[in-house]
Amino acid sequence: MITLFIDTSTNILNIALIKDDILIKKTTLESGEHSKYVMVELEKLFVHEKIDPKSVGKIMVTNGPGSFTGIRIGVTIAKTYAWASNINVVPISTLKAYALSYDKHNYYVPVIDARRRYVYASIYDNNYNEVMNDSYISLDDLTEKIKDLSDALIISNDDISDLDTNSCNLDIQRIYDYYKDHEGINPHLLMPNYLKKTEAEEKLGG
Amino acid sequence: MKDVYILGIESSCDEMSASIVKNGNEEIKTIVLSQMDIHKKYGGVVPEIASRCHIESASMVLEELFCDIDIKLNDITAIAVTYGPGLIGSLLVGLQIAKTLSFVYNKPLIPVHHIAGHIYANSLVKEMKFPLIALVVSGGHTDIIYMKEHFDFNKLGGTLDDAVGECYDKVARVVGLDYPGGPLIDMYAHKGKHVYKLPLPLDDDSYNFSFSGLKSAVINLVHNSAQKGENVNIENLATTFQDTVVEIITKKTMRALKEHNVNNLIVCGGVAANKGLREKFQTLCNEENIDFTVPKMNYCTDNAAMIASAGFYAYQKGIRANMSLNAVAVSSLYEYVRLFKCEE
Repeated sequence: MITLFIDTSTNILNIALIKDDILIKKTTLESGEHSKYVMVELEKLFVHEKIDPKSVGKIMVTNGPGSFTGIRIGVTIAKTYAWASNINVVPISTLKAYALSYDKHNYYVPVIDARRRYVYASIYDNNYNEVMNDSYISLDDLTEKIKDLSDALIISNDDISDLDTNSCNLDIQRIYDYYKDHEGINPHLLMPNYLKKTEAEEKLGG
Repeated sequence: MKDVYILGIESSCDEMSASIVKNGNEEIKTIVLSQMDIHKKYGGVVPEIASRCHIESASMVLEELFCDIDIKLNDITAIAVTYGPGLIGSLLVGLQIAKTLSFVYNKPLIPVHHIAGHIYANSLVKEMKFPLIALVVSGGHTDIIYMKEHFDFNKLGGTLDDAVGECYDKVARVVGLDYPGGPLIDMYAHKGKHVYKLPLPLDDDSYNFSFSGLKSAVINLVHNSAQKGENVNIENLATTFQDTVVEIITKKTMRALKEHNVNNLIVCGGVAANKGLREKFQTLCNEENIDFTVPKMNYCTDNAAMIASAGFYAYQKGIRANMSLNAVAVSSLYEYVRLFKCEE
């Protein structure tokens, strides 16, 4: 079976094809314009590997947190692709994808910059179970939460001055292996996970 | 000739819509999902909320479209999508839907300029006859366009500042009407009398318009009355304002028809739903023996049927895009055909 992996949640674009549980090709590209490049790179990938787009049996997609627009691009593609092909989608937390790309630590703390000294972050234990769920959290609160954890690996591709971070190049084989038995969800149910309301909603509610 | 079925996708503002149109003029089915009630409480469209709503409904709109019809995705000839102008976050959702469908089903991708879409809402009413004058009146545009054939857009004139729909909404706000106030002004205009004095804006030899001065005149009128302790009669003000707008628009449009020796007029865009404007054009065109077309009321606002219809003629003209098609917030109708025309 062919699985398509899509991650457009941050400014680094990751797409990959997995065939019978083995990663066959991965494209990683830093782009400020995912809307322009994702489908171009996707097409190249299928042409290069001589794979029929209709033969994809499952899609894995990161659905946030991250850049709102970025998340929407990947989720829209995954949703439409899966609907058109009558297949399921496996939504994956962008933060968990970071954590799964590393091993041999007690704790993993993936972090994405959310500006104004706030971040999207979570804490996973050595079996990748959530110790702290995906959260929109201030840097100070996060620092407090992780200060007593032993051997906590902080993972981020952003410049976060207060934290000693390790960069992350997604390990798609490891992410795939973790989720390969997940049967996925109907594409209509696939939603972005922004972790944050819009400013207009906050003002109206606040 | 083999029948051509175009799937149209439109998401440039707060409506998510999908439609299938056969041979450019036969509407098979259209789904329009409006978010108007959601944005009402914010007093206008909130772009980030619009994008979020679009993605939630993306696949459901397609599901609903193909439900209970005999046409399947594979029977579609090509996929047409609004690439701009509009709200970038909103446009992106429709654009990615169209690109993905085009890729998975290996169908041609046709970029459609949103205003070309509005113009072609008229081809769903009856076949367009050329040469014609197209008047686009909406919240973002007030353009008089000369077309000698399909997909030949030549600008004769346009607004130098506010678009006419924008002016309607601002005037509505000044007199305390809720968003979207334009249709309410039209409603009140039918109940009042033309008793106030407003200047006929940019009444010159050009085909251009200017509405910001008219808007200021209304604001001054309301403020001056308030200072005198008088209340402005909203119905009478609406009538005076609408008469003024309709007069300058019809005057310049009718002159464009005469000076270009054209007997066909089409009017489109959100303000084409304005009853005062429709009635005045109908009367004038009857007098002058001009063939006048305007879309059905519900197709004056954004919908994918018009995009699919425009997509048919764009397809015939060789307008194509590849997977690198991007959404653009600002885009000129007059550059559109040249940008996307592929040589045969």
